[in-house]
Amino acid sequence: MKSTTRVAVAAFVAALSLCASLASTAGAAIDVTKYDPRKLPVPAIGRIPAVKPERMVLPNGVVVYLLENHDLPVVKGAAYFAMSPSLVPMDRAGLPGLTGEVMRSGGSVAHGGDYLDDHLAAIGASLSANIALGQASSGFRCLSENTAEVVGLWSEIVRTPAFPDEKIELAKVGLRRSIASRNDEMMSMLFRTASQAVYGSKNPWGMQAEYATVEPIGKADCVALHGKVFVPERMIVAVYGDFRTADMKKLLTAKFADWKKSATAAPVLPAMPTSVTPKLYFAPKEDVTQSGIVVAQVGSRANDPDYAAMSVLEQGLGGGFSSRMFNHIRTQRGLAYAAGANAGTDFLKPGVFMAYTLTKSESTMTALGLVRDEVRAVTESPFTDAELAIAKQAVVNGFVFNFEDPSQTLFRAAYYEAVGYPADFLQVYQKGLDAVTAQSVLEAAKRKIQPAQQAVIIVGKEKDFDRPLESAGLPVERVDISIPPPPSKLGKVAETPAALAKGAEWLAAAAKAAGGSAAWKGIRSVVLSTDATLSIQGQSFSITGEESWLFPDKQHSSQKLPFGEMKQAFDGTNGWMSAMGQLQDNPEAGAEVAKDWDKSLWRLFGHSDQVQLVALDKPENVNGTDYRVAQMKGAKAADMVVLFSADGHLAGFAYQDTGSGRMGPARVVELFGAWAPEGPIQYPHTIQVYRDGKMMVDGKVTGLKLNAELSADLFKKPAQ
Amino acid sequence: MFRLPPRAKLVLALAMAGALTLGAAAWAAPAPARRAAPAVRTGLESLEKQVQEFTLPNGLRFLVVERHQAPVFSFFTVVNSGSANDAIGTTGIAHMMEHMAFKGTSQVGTTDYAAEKPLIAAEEKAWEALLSERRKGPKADSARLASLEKTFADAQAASVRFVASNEFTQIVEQAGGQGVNAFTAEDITAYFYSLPSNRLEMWAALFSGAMVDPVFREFYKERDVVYEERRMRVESSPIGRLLYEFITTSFNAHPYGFGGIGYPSDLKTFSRTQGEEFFRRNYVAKNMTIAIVGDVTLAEVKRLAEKYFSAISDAPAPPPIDTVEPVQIAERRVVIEDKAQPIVLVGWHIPAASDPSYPAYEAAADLLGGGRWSRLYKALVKDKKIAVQVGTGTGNPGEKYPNLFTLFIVPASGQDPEKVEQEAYAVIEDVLGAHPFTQDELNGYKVRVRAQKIGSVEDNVELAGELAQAQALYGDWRDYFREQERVQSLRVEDLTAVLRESLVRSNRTVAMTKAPAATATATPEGGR
Repeated sequence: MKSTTRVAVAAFVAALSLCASLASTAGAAIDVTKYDPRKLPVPAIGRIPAVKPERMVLPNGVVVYLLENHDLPVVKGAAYFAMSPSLVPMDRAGLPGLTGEVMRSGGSVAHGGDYLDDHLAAIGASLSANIALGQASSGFRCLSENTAEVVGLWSEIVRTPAFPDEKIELAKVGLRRSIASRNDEMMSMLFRTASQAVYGSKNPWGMQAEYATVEPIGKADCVALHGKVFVPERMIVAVYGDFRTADMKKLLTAKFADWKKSATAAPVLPAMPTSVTPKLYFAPKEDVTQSGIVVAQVGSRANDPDYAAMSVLEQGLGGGFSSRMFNHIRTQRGLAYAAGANAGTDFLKPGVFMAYTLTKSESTMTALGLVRDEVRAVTESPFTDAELAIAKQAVVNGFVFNFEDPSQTLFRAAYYEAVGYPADFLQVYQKGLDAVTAQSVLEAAKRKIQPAQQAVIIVGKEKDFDRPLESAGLPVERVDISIPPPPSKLGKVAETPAALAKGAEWLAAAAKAAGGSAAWKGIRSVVLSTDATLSIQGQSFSITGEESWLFPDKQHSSQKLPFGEMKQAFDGTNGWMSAMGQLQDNPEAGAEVAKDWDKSLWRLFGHSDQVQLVALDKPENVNGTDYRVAQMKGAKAADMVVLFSADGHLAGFAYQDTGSGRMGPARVVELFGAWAPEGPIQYPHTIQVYRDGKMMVDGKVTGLKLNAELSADLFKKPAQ
Repeated sequence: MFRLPPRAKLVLALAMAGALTLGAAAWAAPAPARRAAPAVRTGLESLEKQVQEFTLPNGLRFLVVERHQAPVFSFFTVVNSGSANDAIGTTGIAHMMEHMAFKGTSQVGTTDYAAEKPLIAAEEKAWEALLSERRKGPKADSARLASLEKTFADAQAASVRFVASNEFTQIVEQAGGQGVNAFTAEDITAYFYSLPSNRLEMWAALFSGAMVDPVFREFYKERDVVYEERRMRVESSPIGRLLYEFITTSFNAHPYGFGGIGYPSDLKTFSRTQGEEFFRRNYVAKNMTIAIVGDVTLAEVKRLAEKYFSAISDAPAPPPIDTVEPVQIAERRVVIEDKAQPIVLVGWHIPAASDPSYPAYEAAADLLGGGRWSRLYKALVKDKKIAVQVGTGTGNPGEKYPNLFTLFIVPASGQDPEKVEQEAYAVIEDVLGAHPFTQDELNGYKVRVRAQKIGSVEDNVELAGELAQAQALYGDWRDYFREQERVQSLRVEDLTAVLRESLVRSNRTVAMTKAPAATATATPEGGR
C-alpha cells in the first residue's frame, strides 16, 4: 500500500508545484490517479500519404518496382523468384539453403566470394541470397555513393554464381553442425517435431536435411537448381532509397536486360497434406525443467475468404497480451511465460495452425489441457462482444502500420506480384476486416479448426510430468529423435555369394596364418599388457596398459597415464570407471565392450562361424600400402572393413567413428604387425591407430597371458 | 518481455541463443576522444538537427523527432536502472518491475480499486507471515506452515476478484499498438511500442499512470511467470546455461555477476513490498528519458508531458554502483559437460564504455570477429573449417560499468572445443605479433560504422531507442551522433595497445560446453 500513499503524496506535491513551476506553461498537470485513459476523445487518424512505386518490365520479363527516398544516403533492393520443393530431389534435402548460401559465399564467376567478403566490408555494403522451399530471394544494401558498383556485383551473384567446391564444402561444415545440434535446444526440437507431425515423412514441404542428403550435394546440383530458379522471366525486383528513378532504370536495364529467358517451366507447388493424424507425438528431452507444447493442424492460405476472420481469431485466441491464452495460461495461472496461437495463414500455401505454450515439467499435462480447451472453445461459441471488439480493433487500428515506412508499400507490391496476389489484396483485406463479426469468426473457426483432428506435440522430461501422456486421450507416439549417422562411405556393397565366399576364404587363411581357428577357440580369457605413445592435440604421452578380458563381455582395463591411473570395467551387467580417485558408473561400458568383442581377433579367428565378410573389389590404401578389404556384415562400428595383407595376415581394421564421443567423426584405421608366437597362436605385437590419416596410438604388446584365472570381483565396481 | 536491447553487439551469441538471458546492452559508446576528432560527413547531419528536447521541472527529459511520413509514432522510455541494480536477496527484482509495469493502475486493470486495495494488502500480509515462518527452516511449525500456506493461497485467490486481467496492454493493443514490449538489461530497463498518432494523448495518460500510480496486482502469479522465463532462457537451454555460468563466473564482486534473471531462491521469496521499494528508488523522473519519434509535434508532446508526466517523483536519481570488480589475477574456466554440441565463450575484463580507450576495443572486436571480413572468421571458419561461427564483441553484459570483451565460438562438428579455443588465441597472437591490423582494415571499419549508424535510424522505434539510451547513459543524446568522429581518430596502434593490455590469460574467463567424459574416447581403441 506504500505505493498508493506515495503516489497520493506525489500527486499532492505535484498539484502544489503546479502553481509555482508550471504556472507559465500552457499544459496543466493533472492527477493521473484519477484519470481514465479510455475516456479521452480520440481524434480522427491522420491521412496516410499516398506512395506510388514505379513499375517497369524489361523485355526479358524482369519486373522492376522503384521508389525514390532521399531521407538517408542508402539504397536497398530485393528480388523475388518462384521456387518449389518439387525442384529438390528428396535425397538432396538441404540443397536450397546451401545453394543460396554459396551464391553469396562463393561469389560470381567474375568476383569470387573472398573478394566480396573483403570488398563489401570495406564499403559497408551487403549482398544476400536465400532459397527457401517456396520462394527464393536475393538482396543488396549499400551507401548510395556505391550504388552502381554494388548493383553490378549483385547482378553477378544472381546471374552467374561460381559455386566453387571449396565454398560448397564450407557450407556443408555448417550444415553438419546444425544437424548435429538439432536436439540441443528444446524450441528447435519442438517446432521440428511439430512440422514432422503435420507434414509426415513423405510430403516435400516437410523435407529435412540429414547427413545422408547433404553429403552427396555437389556443384552440379547447385548449378541445376540455380538454373531453374534464378531466371529473368520469374524475377520481380524492388529497389528503394537514395537514387534517381531514371538512373536506376538505366542501371538495372544495363545489368539485367541482356539476361536471356530460360526454357524452364514455372515451378508448381506440391500439395500440402490435407489432414494430420490425431496423435500425441512425444519427443524426450532430459536436460530441461520446462516442456514445450504445441497443438497443430494444416492451416489455410491468405487468399482464403476466411483470412480476415482468422486474423481476428488469432488476435483473440493467442495473438497478444490481451488474448485468451495469454490471460488464462500466463496471467491468471502463472503457468507459462510464452503462450499463444498462430492462425496458419501463409501467402504461398496453406500454413500451419498452431497453439503453443511452454510450462514447467510438473504442469505439462495441465497446460496441454488448457491449450486444447482454448482451441476447442473458439470453435464452439463466439467471442463475446467485448472480446470481438478488442481483437478486431487491434487488427483494424493497427492497419496503418502497413504504411509506417514508404518502403513497405514498395516491397509489398513486388511481393504480391511474386506470389501471384492482386495488387489491391491489402485493400480487399481491409474491407474484409470491417465486415468481421463474432459469428463470422466462429464460422471461420468451424471451417478451419478441427480440434478432434489435431496433432499434439510435447517435448520434455516425461518423468517429471504431472500426469501420464496417455491421459490426454490420444494415441501416443514416442518420436525417435536420434540423428541418422552419416552415410556409408563404402557405397552399396554387392553381397554376392562369390564375394561372401571370398571373404570367408580370406578370413580362414588369416586364421591359419595365426595358428589356426581351433587354437584361438580354446582361449577363453586373456591378460594383455601394452606400452603405447598417445598423440593427441599436438601433445604426446606414454601409456602403460593392462587389460583383462573374460570373453565375451567381462572386461577390466587399467591405464597408467602421466597424470594418473584410469580404470574401467564391465561385469556383464554394470559398467564403471575411475579416474583421479573418482569412481563413477559408466552406462556406456556394455556397449563399448560389445564393440571390442565385435572386432576382436578372438571372435574373428576363434568364432569365425559368427562372422560374415563380403570381399570388396577395390583395395584400400593405407600409408602407401594396398590391402585387400572385406566388409564385416552387421558390424557394430559403421563402415567396418577388415584389412588383409599380401602375406595372408589379418592386417587390421578400418571403420567410421561417427563422432558421438569427444573425438568427433573420423575414419579410424587400426594396423597390426610383428606377428609372433604366444603359446599355440600367433599374435600381433605392434598396433598403430590412425584417425583420418594421423597416427594417434603407437603401441606394442609387452605381455600376453592366455586363459588366465580371472576373479569375478575384478570386474565388479569396487566399494567407494 | 525481457527482450534484447535492439543494438546488442553479441549478435552471434544471441542468434544462437534464440533468446538471451543476459541482455547485453551495447550501443553507441561515447567517450572523450583522445585526439581532436576530425569533422566527418556522417550522412546524419540533417537528422541530428531534427532532434528536439525539453526537460520537465521534475527532471524528466523528453527527446522528440518529428517524422510525418505516416500517422504513427513510437516511444522508447529508458529507466536508467537495470538488473545491475539488484541486490542479494532480491535478485531479479529489476526485471520483475518490467513485468509489473504492465499490470495497470488504480484506474486501469481493476473493476473496483477501492474493493481491490484491501485484498492486495491482505495478500501481502499473508505472504510476509508465510515467509517469516518458512525462514525458521527445520524449526518451523509444520501445522502453522500449512495453515499459513493456505491463508496465502486463499488471499492470493481473493486478491484477483476485482482484477481486469491485462486491461492495460489491452487498451494499447485495441488502439492498434504494435510491438508492445520491454526489456531489462543490466544497465537499464526499457519500455517501447508504436501507436497510431491520434492516440498520443491516450498513450501519455496510460504510460504516465504506470510510472506514477502503478498497482502491483497479481504480483505472486507474475513471479511464477518470471520463474517460467528463467526455466525457458536459462535452465532448459544449453546455451542459456552456458551464458549464465559465463557471466556469473566472470564477475565476483560487481552485480553484473548476478546474471540478471535472478537466483531461484530469490524468485521464490522476494515480496511486493520489496518491489515497491525498488520502484520508489529507481523509477524517478531524473532517472528516466523518453524519446518519441513519429507523426507528433514538439508543442503537443510538451503539452501532454506537462499534463501527465509532471507527477513522476522528482526525488534524486539513485547513485551509481560504487563496487568495482577487482582485478582478476588468474584464468577462470567453467566446463559444462553436456550432450549438446560444444560452444566456447571467452571474456576478458575491459573498462566501461565511458573510458577513452573504449572505441579502440570496439574497433578491435570488429576486426577480430565482427563478420566475414574479420581475422578469426577467416582463420577458423573459412580456412581451417574448424568453427562454423565466431564472433567478438564488447559490452557484455552491460556497458555502464567495466565489462567483457567477449569471444564466442561455435566449433564445427567433431572439433575439440579446447583445440578450437587455442586456435583462436593463436589468431589473436598473430595480430599482436607478425600480422598487425592494416590501415585498410581499420578504414573499412570506419566505413562500416557509418553505414551501421545510418541503418539504425530508419526505423522510428530504433531511432527513439538509440537517442533515449545515449541520453540516459551518457547524459547527452548527441553522443550518438559523435561516434563516427571518435572512430575517425583511431589508429592501428590504438587497437593493438588495448588488445595487448587486456587480452591476457590471467584476465580471462573461459566457459564451454563439452561432451560428457563418459562418452569421451579416453582410451585408445584397438589392440584387444
